[in-house]
Amino acid sequence: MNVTDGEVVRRVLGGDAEAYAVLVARYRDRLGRYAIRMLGNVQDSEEVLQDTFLRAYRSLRNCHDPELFGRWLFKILVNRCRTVGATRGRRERLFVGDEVALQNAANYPVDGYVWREEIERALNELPSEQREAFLLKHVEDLRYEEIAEITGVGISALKMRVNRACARMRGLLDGVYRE
Amino acid sequence: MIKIRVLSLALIPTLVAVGSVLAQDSRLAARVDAETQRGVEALAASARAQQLPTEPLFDKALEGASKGAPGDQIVQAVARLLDDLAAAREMLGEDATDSELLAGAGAVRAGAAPGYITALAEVRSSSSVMVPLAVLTDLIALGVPPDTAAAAVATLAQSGATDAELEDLLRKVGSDIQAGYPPVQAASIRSGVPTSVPPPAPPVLIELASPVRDP
Amino acid sequence: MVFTVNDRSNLIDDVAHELRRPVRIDPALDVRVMESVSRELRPGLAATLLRWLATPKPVRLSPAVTAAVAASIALAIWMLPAGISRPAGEVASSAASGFRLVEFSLKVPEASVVTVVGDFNDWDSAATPLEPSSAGDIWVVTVPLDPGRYQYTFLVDGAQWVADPGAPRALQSDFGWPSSVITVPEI
Repeated sequence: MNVTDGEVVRRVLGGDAEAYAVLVARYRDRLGRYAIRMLGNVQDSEEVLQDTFLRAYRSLRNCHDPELFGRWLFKILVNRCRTVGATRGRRERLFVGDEVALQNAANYPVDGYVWREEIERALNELPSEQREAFLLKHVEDLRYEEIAEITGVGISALKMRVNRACARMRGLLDGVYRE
Repeated sequence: MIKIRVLSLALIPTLVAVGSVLAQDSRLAARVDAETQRGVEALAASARAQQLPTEPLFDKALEGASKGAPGDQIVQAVARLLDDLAAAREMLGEDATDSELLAGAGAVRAGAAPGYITALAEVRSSSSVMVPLAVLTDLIALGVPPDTAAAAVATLAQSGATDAELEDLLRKVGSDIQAGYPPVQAASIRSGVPTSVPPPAPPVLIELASPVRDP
Repeated sequence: MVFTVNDRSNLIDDVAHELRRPVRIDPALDVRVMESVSRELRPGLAATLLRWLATPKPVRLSPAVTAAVAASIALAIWMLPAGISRPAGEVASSAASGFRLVEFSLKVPEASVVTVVGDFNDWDSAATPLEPSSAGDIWVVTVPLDPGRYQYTFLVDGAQWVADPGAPRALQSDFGWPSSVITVPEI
């Protein structure tokens, strides 16, 4: 039986810093996926990811419900992505597709690669708040209540963002999709 | 009539809040280019979503504008401050006031260890930790090494020192430094904390002569 | 382009399916995180450290150092508890609303205009001019400030930024020109 997040958190707070590696290993892939989808830049994403884990460690005692460590960690990540995204958005608008898709090209057939490239291009067209809501709802598969807690945004506003994001994605991908 | 008046009164906080946001926009619009304004406002929106104060971000942007900094530099400085505020929130907890967060952000930027900042907040759980954090930051600015400064402030705070007593520590250390004493020595003498922060466990006590108080 | 995908109603599901595929994260990231963690103070350690710090410890004082611990403080900013050298009415108002009267001063001979510019006046270089003293070389202004922490700088003759020589410097010199910092405690 796996050790729960809460048990690991309590071990770390009790002085076993090395136990934190369990949490890093447990969440790195999921958080990394969100950061890369959100920022579209592997280097920025890995920096954000590393920073998120370190900030979480520093403030671990503020994680009031250790069993919900994952959600608490996600909240830190989302905020870090917002800050980095706002700063980076000014100096460069990266095309999401190339770097991430090429990195994973081995996993996909050629058609899949092009399709994926179009998806990432469309994702990058979304305003950041819509991209954030879309990823949390449809990719991370979170409930609106959870997204509201993570983002600090009200549920009705989140639903509107997700709806707009879906409509925009349909508009951008429809031609590609139907041909 | 009465109803309308009550409604009007009820609307005042909302109107004030909206007015405040618009005022921030107009302050920036007159002082920075549109792209810089968009960058700063995006960061402010992020701060609002995180329940972090936005006013320090606008202050930072206005400082940059006043000092003639280019837009990129302004946005980067605002982003750094937002980072520091977020880090301070993580260290001080959800209940921290805006003033405490700003003081905490300063301590973060100065290089104070996160554990000390959190511990200070815990020591001051029933009163504001703004002044202890400010004194910590200002001691570091005077050249006192972060760990020595943190140990000095933490020791006094732990023993129940008031804000005035902590400010007094800062003034005295500043005075000693002006008189030519090394910052680390001045802080150690004034606070009664040895110059080197002890290793976590077991603590190594330094056997010395007599307790230090004001001459 | 041809994609063998389902009908349009499933477009969002297909998009989400693609975006849920795993990404490659640098395997060394875990190591970097744990290296950083090992350099941090452990979360549970701070309280222990504080307890140790709070334990009285003997400290050696050299005679030379002891002799030096008598210098007076020459801060250019004086925190005035509301009421000191202020009219009684204003004292009551100050105390009730929580602000303090803070006097900013700068010794600068042969200046035509001196202003203080900071967080408390939107960094408006014209908002808060200082008045010259009768001797002419010390410029002074008193400003009501709510409790908080403020950065500021003096601007001399509209061109020269001067940090307050008697106040702590702000460590974040983000824009090249140094700033000073003042903390106004709660009353």
